[in-house]
Amino acid sequence: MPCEDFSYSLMKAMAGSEDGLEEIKDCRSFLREEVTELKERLTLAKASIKELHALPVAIRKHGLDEVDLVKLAMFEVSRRAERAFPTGEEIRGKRLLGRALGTERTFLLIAYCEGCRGERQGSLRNSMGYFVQLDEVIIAEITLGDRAKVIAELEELIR
Amino acid sequence: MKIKLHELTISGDMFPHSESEEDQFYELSALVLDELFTSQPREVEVTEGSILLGSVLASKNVFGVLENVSLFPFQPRHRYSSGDVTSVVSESLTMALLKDVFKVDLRKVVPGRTAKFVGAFTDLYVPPESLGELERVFEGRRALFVEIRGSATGRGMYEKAERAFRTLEAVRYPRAFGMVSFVTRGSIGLVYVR
Repeated sequence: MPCEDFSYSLMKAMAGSEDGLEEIKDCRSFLREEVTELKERLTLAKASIKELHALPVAIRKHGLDEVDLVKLAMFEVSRRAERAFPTGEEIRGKRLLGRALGTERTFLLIAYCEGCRGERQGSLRNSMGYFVQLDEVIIAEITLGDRAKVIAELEELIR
Repeated sequence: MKIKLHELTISGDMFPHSESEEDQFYELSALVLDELFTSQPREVEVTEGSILLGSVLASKNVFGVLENVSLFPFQPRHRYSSGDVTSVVSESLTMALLKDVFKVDLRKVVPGRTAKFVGAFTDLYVPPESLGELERVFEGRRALFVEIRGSATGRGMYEKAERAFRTLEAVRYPRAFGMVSFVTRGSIGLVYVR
């Protein structure tokens, strides 16, 4: 089912994974048909009220429930994400594929590791920084460190 | 990192929803806010990794969030505090709270702050199956909508609360659950709306 694990796909796409970007694109094409009508209904609902506090009932009267609003928001977020990713400079390790945002020695690393499992976090020993793993996504904030060394150390820590 | 957490549960029925009712959002939000921050706080633990995860899902490009979070309570008051930093810090801290204290699955949430121009959506949506321990707080399993407001100075909190509850009610009414998170210098206040 598309649009499941939405923010997980977002993070994967940010790291430069093809899978993540594909999931987001699937989600958007899945929602595309419905969204036009939902948007029209929301505009009508907003135009029908004189005072702001009547919005909740007006939205329901025009046949929108909270799930429809989630669909609208998901569509917009995925539209922005699809155009934006991936950004940053690509870094490749043996298992890791990542994107670094920042300068040579101070950067934010968002990496993707296919097939990795588990939740881990901790600080790095050979460079100054902190990392966190959520299954296939690894995020590290490096305050001082060499890119190659950071990648090498992360590959030891993550499984 | 230790955080002081104020909590309050209210019923969503107290807010006006239709034209026949009087618009009392400001008065009610002010009451809720006063009640919230005079309650006895409990201390919770948030890990750095969760804050880092939250900062990647936040709506603005602010880097070095870990430093910013730890400096947040100690900002010098003679200068303006950055609104961008405040909003990213509050979003990251709220997501870290959800993950560490309530065991919400951050993989399934939808960060909605970048899509607020839709006109009726909250900062975060948590699907019913990943509520975690919030199921016990709300005594049920339904979709959860989270509004996040932050202020480093404490100024303008009443207006922020009013706007938060307005948006929340537009999306939440009548069945789903809602939550408003107020991130201030010293503590975080969570209002559960049922």
